[in-house]
Amino acid sequence: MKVFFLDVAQGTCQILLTGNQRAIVIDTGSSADTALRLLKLLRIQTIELLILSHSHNDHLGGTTKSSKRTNALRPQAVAGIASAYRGAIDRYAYVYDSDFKTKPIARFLQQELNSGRMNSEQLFPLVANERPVELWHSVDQSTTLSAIAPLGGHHLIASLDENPNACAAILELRHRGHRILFTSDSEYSMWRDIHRLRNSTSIQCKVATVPHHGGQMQGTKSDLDWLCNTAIKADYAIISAGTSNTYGHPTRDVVRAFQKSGSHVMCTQITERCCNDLESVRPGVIGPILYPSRSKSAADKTSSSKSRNVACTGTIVATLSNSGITVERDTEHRNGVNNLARRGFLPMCRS
Amino acid sequence: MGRGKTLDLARKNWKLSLDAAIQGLLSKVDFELDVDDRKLLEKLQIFFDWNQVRYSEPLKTMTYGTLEKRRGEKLGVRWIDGSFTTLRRHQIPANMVGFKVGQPFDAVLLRDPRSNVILKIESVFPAKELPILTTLQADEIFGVRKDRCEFKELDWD
Repeated sequence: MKVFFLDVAQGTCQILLTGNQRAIVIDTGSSADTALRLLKLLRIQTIELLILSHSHNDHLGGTTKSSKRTNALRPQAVAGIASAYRGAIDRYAYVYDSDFKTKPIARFLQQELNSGRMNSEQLFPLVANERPVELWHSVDQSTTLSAIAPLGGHHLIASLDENPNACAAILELRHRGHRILFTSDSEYSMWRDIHRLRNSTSIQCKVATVPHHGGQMQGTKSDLDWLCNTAIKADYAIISAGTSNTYGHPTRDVVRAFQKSGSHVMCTQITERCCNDLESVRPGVIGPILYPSRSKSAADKTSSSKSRNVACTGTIVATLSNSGITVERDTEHRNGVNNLARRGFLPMCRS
Repeated sequence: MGRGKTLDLARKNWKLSLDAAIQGLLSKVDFELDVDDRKLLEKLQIFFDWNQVRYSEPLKTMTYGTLEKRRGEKLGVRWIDGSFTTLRRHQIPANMVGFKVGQPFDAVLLRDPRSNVILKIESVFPAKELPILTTLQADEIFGVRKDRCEFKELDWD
């Protein structure tokens, strides 16, 4: 089995290849382009499970602009994947937050239900109830994917705060005693609840995606230290963030905190806080992986002439085998970062 | 080795089995390759640039879109994933010529495997506009219902 942490610029998309031309997709990023191309190049015929972690645009795509025409098509990346794999998606698992009902994917799914191309048995609202709930397992049961959050109360908090992050799905892939955590944009309060339910034991994992793209969450510095040292213990911390994103993701504090806890931090794209001459490292700090990514070899700039889509590690791949979980191109990434430092830049992840 | 009663038939058989072998390998990801597959791949890689083979075939994808603009020979289409494409007459099927602005449709697209650019629309089928969803309907369809939460509970470790 392979897990792809796709380079989708500012956003998140993970694809789990389960074999026999089947895959599980967790979010799509703001554009369906990269995910769809990988799925098609790898000849994936069936999506066993399409997981929608929460309704923010950098996870499922979409636009905040409203059209003057009421019948105008309001697009969304995840609806693009759903239409491309129409009739070939076994199940949808989604967090039914306050924004979900207004999104095009809801309208698309209703049309599919009305036309009889799918039935309501394929729709699964994600809620855990004090214990992880199993979403998928491999034929030999050696690998399971489960949701550990949101818990029932998180929906209420999210709707009161009008903050879908407060009920974002947290998923756990277990493989022969090893773990990968997909944390989406989860908040500290959710981790406190999980920690309490786990009788205050930390989650030891090989790989964890850093919540909220390594950006600030609703909490203090001590919450951040608690998250990295007490709630999660990860060998690898993966940050999916875009070059020149306007949110300032990832922050130096978050990168440092994960590093101090012993995690090796890897980012999909590089930002100007790591290198102030981004064009000199294009298309990436290390050679681009064969798989598609948003990182481009040709110049790609924002409207304010800032560099866009420059990879750090680019698409990150974890391989699950009998011996455990390995993260590919780890040494290459460490060497790439060291080379960057030798050239006088200050990569945040360099310890 | 091809099999057949005549040289032509044997050659045809060999071509077919080669194509089947390539298609079979292309449909597998590296962790699915067994020892025989790896041996075969090694042999084939002497003759073929594997990446070239993988990237040479246009990708075929389905999608849903709306005709948003029409100006002379050019048609502007908004796809459901948010992308916008300007297409020319030779890139669209004949039945799309009669579409009016605002017409939603399902389409089968051919894309360049390297750039993902749309090469042409292979076929289109007029579709209905996506339905407007009320809050009540959405709650009914997507809301958390106990009978639908049939997930098995696991232990924390």
